[in-house]
Amino acid sequence: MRKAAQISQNTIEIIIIIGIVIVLNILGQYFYSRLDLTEDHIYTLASSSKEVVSSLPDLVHIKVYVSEELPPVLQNEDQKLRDLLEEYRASASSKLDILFLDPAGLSEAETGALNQKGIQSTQVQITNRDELSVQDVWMGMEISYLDKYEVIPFVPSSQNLEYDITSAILKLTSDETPTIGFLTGHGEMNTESSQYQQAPLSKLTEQLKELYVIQDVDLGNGTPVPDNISTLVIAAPSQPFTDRHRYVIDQFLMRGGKLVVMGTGFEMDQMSQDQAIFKAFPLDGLLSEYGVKINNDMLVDLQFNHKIPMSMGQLQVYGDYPLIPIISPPDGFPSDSPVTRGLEQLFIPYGSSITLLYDKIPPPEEMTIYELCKTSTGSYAKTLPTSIDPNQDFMPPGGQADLQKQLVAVQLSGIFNSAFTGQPVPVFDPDPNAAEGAIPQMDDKEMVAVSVPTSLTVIGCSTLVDDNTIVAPGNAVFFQNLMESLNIGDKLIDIRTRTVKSRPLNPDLTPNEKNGFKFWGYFFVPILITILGTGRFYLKSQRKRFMATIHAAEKEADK
Amino acid sequence: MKRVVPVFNRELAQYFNTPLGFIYIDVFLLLTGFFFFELFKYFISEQASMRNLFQLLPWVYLFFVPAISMRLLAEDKKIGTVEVLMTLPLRDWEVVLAKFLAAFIFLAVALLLTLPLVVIVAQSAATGVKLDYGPIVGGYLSAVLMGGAFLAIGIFFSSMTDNQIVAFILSVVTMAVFLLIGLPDIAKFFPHAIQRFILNISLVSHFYSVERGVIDTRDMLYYASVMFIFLFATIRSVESRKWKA
Repeated sequence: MRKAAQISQNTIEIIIIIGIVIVLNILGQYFYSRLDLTEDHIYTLASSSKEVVSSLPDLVHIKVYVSEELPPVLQNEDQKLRDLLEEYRASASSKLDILFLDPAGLSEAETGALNQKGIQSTQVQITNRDELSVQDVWMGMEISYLDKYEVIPFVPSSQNLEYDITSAILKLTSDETPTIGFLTGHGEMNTESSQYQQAPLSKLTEQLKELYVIQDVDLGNGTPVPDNISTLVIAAPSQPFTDRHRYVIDQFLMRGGKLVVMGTGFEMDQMSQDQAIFKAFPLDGLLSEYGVKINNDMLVDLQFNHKIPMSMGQLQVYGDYPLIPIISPPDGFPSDSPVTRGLEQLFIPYGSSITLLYDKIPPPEEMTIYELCKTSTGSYAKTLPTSIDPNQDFMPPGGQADLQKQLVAVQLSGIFNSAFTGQPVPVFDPDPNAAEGAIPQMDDKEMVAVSVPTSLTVIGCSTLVDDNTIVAPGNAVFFQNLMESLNIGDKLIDIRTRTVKSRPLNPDLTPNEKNGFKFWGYFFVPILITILGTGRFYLKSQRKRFMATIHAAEKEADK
Repeated sequence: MKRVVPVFNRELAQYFNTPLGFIYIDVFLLLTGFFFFELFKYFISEQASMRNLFQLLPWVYLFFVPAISMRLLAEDKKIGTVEVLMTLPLRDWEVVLAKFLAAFIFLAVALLLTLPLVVIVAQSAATGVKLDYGPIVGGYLSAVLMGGAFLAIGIFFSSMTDNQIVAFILSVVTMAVFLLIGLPDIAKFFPHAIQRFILNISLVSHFYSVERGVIDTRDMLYYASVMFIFLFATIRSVESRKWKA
C-alpha cells in the first residue's frame, strides 16, 4: 500500500514538474533573445533594414495571411517569418503595424480582393490518417502605406525574405520611384518582348521593375534624354551614333545623369558563326574622351572559367571554356565598392578588356575610379579575329609570360569634362518626316562643359545581363547593386548579398594532398588515443607487476 | 556540491581506467571521419564547411550516447555497487548528477577531439577564403547540448533496469522518437492540432537552429528542460529502491 502511494505521489510530482517546464518553455517563446554568431550576422535583421523601419514617415501596415493549420514542412517557415517580423517590430517603434490573419475567417469578397492583389492560396500535399490529400495553404503578405501596397504572394517562395520586405517598404515610402532609361535606336538589346521575339533583357527589366520605372529612350533626331531619367543604360549598341546623339548622351552625363555602357570591341562573323571579328564599339570615340576604352579583343581566362560539356570520343565530359571567365573575390572585385560587396562570382561570356586612358581622366580629387571587375592572373586578351571553338589551344603565343589580370568593368565617379568642349553644338539630325525647306530644329539648352558630380560605368561585355546569363545569380545581383548604388544608395545592397557565402576549397589540391588531409582527419587522433591508452595500460600493468614483486619480497622477508 | 566532486572524479577516471573509454573515442572519431570524408564526400562537395559533420551527429549520437549511458546505473544495480554507493553519505541526486556530469564531460572530450577536422577544413580552403567560425562554434555547442539531452534520457533508462542491453534499446528507441518526430515527413502523420507542439519537442529542430550559428534562449531553455526532466525522473527512479512494499 505504501509503495503504491509512493508511486502515485512520484508520478504526480513528475507530471507537475513536466507541466512547470512546459509553461516555462511557452513563456520562453515570448521572452527570448538571440545571438547570431555568423560572420555577416545573416540570421539577424540587417542594419539597413533597421534603418529603413526606424525612419518610417508614417504608419506602415504588414498583414500576413497565414493558415491556422499548416503542414509540418511549412511550420518552420512560419516560425522564421514570425521571428523576422518580430525583429522588424522591435526596430520600428510604433510606425509598423503587423497583423497575422487566418484567411479561413475572411468572407468570400475579402478573399477575392486578396486574390486580385496577388495573394492566393497554394496547394500543398499532406498526409492525413494514412491518406494523401491536397491542402490549400495561405502564407502571403501585404505591405501597405497610405493608398499604395506591395505583396509577397507566397512567403516560402521568397529567396531573400528580408530583402523583399525591406525593398517593398522602401519603395512604398519613397517620394518618387527612380526611372531607368534603356537607349534604343542603335541596335541595342531590347527590354520589351514583341509578339515574335523575346527581348534579350526581359528578365532583367522584370527584376528591375520591382524598384524602378523602366522606360525605353529613343533620341529621335536628337532630342535630349527626358528629365525623369536618372540612369541611362546603353546595352550593346551595334549601329553608329550620329554626332547629335553622342552630344545628347554627353549632355545627359554633364547634367548629372548616370550612364551605364555595355559592349564589346568585336562582333560575330556573319559568314562563320564561330569566328569573332574586329568591330569598333559605336561609342568608342565618346568614351575615350572620358578616359575609357573598350578594346578590340576577346578575354580569355585559363584559371577561372565556366565549365561546359565537351565530347571526348564517346564520352561527354565537362571541360574549361576560357572564353567565359568567372570573376570572384577577393582579387576580382574591389574591396571598397558597394556594387560588388558580398558578390560571390560573376560570369563574363565573350567579353572585351577595358583600358583606362589616364591622360583623359581628371585628377583623383575630382574623380574616383573603381575597377569593378578583373579577371584572374591566368588571363589575357586575345587579338581578333579569333575562333570561339572550345576545342582550340587557348595558350597565348608568349606562354605564361602573357598572362595577367584584365580589367572588365570600371566605374568613374566625379566631375567630367564634356567631350564637345571647344566644338560647335551638333545640330539636330534631319527629320525624315519634315517638309522640304523646313528650318532645322535648334537646341534650346546651352551646352554644359563641366558636369556636376555623376557617374559613368563601362562594362566590356554585351551579354552580362541578357536572359541567358542573368540566370547566374551573381550577374543579376551585380547589376541590381549597380542600379541601387546609382539611384537609391546602398541600403539594399547589404541585404541582397546576405546569404550563406560560398567558401570553395582550394582548386589546386592534388589527389595526394587530399589523401594526406584524409589520413590526418581519419587516423591522427585515433592513433594518438590508441598510443595514449596502450601506454597507460602498459604502465599500469608494469606498476601492478612491480607492486606484486615488492609484496612477494616482503612476504619472503617476513618468513 | 562538494560531495559530488569525488564521485564525479571516480566516474570520469573509470572511462580512462579501462580500454573501453579509449575504444569508444576511437570508434566515434573513425565513424565521424568516415561520414565526413566518404559519405558526404567533403572533397567533392567543394565547400570548406563543417555543416555536413554536424548535420549527421544526431544520428551518430543515436547509438554512441546510449552505449555510454547504458552502464551508468544499470551496471551498479546489477553488481550491487549501487547499494554501496547509496550507503555513502550522499544524496541520490548527488550520485545521479556526478554520473551524468562525468559522462557529459567524456562525451564533450570525444567531440572536442574532432577539432583537427576544423584545421583540415581551414587548410583545404581556397586562398583568401576565411572560414565562418560562427556556425562551427554553434555546431559544437549544439552537439554538446544534444549530447547532454541524450545522456539524460539514457541515464534515466539505465536507472530503470539492471540489464544494460535493455537500457540501451530503450534509450535508442526514445532518442529515435525524439529525433524522427522533428522531420516534417514524420510529423505530418500527427493531427494538425498537435503538429506544432510535436515539432517543438523534437530535438532535431532545436539542434539545427543552434547548429547554423544562432544561440537562441528558446533552444537553450529547451535543452535545459529535457535534461532537467529526465534527470529528475532518474533521481525519483533511484529513490524508488528505498520504497518498501
